[in-house]
Amino acid sequence: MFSRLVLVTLATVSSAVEAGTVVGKVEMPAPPDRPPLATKGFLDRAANPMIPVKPVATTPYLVIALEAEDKPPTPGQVSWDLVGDSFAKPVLLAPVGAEVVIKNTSNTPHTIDAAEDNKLVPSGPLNPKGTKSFRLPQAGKIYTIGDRDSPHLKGVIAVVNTAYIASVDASGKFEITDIPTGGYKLRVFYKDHWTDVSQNVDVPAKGKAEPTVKLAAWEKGK
Amino acid sequence: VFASKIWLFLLTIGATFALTIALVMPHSANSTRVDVEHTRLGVACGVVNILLAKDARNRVDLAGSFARTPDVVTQLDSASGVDKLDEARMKQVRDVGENVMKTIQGRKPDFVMMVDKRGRVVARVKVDEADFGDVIAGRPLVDDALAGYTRDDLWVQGSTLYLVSAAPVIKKDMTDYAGAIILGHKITQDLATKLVGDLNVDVEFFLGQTEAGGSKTISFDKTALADGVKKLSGDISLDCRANHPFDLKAGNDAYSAIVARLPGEAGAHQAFYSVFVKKPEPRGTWAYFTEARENGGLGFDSFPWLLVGGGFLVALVIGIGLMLYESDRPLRRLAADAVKLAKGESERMNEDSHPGKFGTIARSVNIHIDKLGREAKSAKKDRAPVGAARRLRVVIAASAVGVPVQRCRRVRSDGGRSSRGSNDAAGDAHRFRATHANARADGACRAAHVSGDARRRHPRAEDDTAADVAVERYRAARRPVLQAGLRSVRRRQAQLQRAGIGADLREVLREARQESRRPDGEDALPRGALHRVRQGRQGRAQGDARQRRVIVASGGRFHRQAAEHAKPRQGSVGIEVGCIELGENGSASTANPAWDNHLGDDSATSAAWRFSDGALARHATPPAMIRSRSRCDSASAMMVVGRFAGSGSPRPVMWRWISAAMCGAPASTSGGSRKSSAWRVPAITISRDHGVLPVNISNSTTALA
Repeated sequence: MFSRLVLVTLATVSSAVEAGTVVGKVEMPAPPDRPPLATKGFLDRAANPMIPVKPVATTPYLVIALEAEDKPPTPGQVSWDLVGDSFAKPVLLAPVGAEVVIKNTSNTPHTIDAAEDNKLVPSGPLNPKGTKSFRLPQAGKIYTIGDRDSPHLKGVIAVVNTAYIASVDASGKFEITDIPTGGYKLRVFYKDHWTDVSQNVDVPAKGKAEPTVKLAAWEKGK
Repeated sequence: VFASKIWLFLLTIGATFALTIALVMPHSANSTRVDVEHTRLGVACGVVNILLAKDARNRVDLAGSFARTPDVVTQLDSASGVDKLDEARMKQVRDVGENVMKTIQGRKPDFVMMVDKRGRVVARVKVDEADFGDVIAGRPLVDDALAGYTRDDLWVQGSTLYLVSAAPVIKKDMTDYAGAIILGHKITQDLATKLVGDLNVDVEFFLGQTEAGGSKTISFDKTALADGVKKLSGDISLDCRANHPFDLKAGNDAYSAIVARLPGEAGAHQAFYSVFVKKPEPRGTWAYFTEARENGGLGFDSFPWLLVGGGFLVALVIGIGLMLYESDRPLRRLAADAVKLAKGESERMNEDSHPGKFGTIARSVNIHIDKLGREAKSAKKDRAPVGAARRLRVVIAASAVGVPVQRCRRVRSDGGRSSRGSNDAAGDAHRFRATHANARADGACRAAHVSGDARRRHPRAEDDTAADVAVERYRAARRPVLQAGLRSVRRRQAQLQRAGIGADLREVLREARQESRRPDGEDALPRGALHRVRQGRQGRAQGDARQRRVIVASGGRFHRQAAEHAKPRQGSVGIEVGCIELGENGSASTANPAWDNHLGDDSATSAAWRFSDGALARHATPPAMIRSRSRCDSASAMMVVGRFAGSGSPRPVMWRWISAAMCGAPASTSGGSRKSSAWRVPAITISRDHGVLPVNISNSTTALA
């Protein structure tokens, strides 16, 4: 859905100006070590002796944004699904002023709020199949949306000043289409922070821009 | 008695100390019991935690077994490959799950979630079985299981606390994961009971202030529990060791409890468990004694009875020994010493052989003995000058103890007249001395009776006082007699001087003076006696006053009569004293036959003396004095002092009747010759039937000494 939103936005823009495509790749470092258990039971977790355990998933938490000096077009609505005990995407980048609609697709009600601003999300339970929407007022802000009764339920919203946003696949590739020609700055958001990686990208009128950024470390400053 | 007191003091201290220990020990024991209970709670809490971990291990193993079930692997692998789960698949997978559940031995899970590799719940067993397709990935347990880990967790579903375990489902080809199996077990009473087992404590699980199950459901004060949980921090696994038990109320019952946080997701819901036990009741000394007795703690095998009994015997023997050494034996020695003193075997008590207070007693006794000795010497010195008084002492002593006075000095010294002739100067002197001696003897005798009478009237009056008073009175009465005698002697002396025999009479006179007066001219009576009389002991002797007045009065009359009748008649001088017997009924007037003989010489006096109507009378010319003494209303004695003229019938020249013995007897003279020189008078027995001295005179012929 997010991709559709982006495409719609780009289509609208392209109707006025010429648009290009950015197909890039993020060279990722080795997956980080599995963090210690935030909550554990009476026993420590133990790896099964049959096959190796999966590495820590990083790409769901990796998001690319192309920012320009111009103000983005009027943002639309951004949908964010709450699927059971987690969000469909753990990290959401949304343009400033966009309306975020959280839809509970699970059978479990939740009471969500933003840890940084308890007025951001309307109060009240988010019942199954229900939605809760709010607008993002300020660019640059990072909000942590969660349910206080379910500490494990946690999602991050990063407010950006652009509508050209893309997720990466498991190999680190990403693609953003219908980008107005011009110069942009590519930034990488991981989990709950912006990485040190940034790159200027010129979007041509025809053809593709294929930036490749290398992420030195998952954690900022490392 | 010093060591005995110290021993008693030490024993008292020991007993007090033992009693204090006995009374304090229960408090200490109770405190120790509480401490033990608290320690036991901490241990039980740790044990519960260990058992929960062990249970978690079993549950994880069970989850692993479940996940390795081929049908489960196949179904989840298949489900993971489809984008959309349908109900048919859900039921198919659920059936597989149920079948596997049936094969589980022992405690079965309360729910099973079968999750594909995408984190979707393909099917649920025993809880929300109609729900499927929801994503539960995101939960740490699920994420870890999908990543290939086995682990456990605690989940809260609604108000129910579940012990959750998970295991990954691995494809058959071992190349990837096909999903995960989530098992959940409720906290049940059965599980809680198994957890505490034989620990003799109870455990209860809480979600905040909501009870989530336990071995015993008790409505505790949740606030106190919550406060106890809030104090906990740090590593959860150390709660049982770092936490301290606290008191808890449940109605009227008091409990000691310890709390520990529960790990996992449930921790976000303030899940914890509490191990508690009823607070032990305070117990007293007797309760511990009873417990020791019931538990066999008082048997010879477990209690040092021999030591206690031996200690008791040692203490007892030491105490008895000290008492024997310090009290009993010295007391026996003192008693033996006192007996010796009483028997006269020793004059004093041996002070050195008696230690301590017993020596003090001995010294006190010796001091008193010394004092009595000094007083005896002093009294002896005071009474020594008077010969008559000395003799009086003898009589007093005898009469005081009721010894029959068998002698009433008879001084018969007028034989000179008959033997030497009336004009013989030596005979006169001899008669003079005899007269003087008779007077003294007479006075001593009467004083003796008076004193004895006074003693009987007032037994508590001091002997000395009574005797001294008697002697004093006697001397006061006697002095005029002596003076009268002296005057007579002087007249006679003049006659003798004229006859050439004056020298001898002067010696006689000097002797008489010395006998009657002291050199300073005062009466020879002991000053001490007079002083005591003047100092107030007169009161105790008042009983004798009337008698003394009688004595004095009669003495005065005696004196006057003596002075009147002492005039020598027909050259015969002498004062005769004698005794007659008076019957108690007044009719008996029989005197000594010798007396009667003499009395019979004179028709005027030979008549029998008799009492008539209580009055002493004589039918023939009774002396006026006797008649006037009609108050003599009891059988008594009469003393007749007579002086016989040189010739003629003896006649009483004076009477003095007293309530005493009649002493002396007239000489048996007739016609100027002494009929018997040793006038025998009846024996006098002094009895104590009356206030005065009734005298029974028998006809025995005891000679007066």
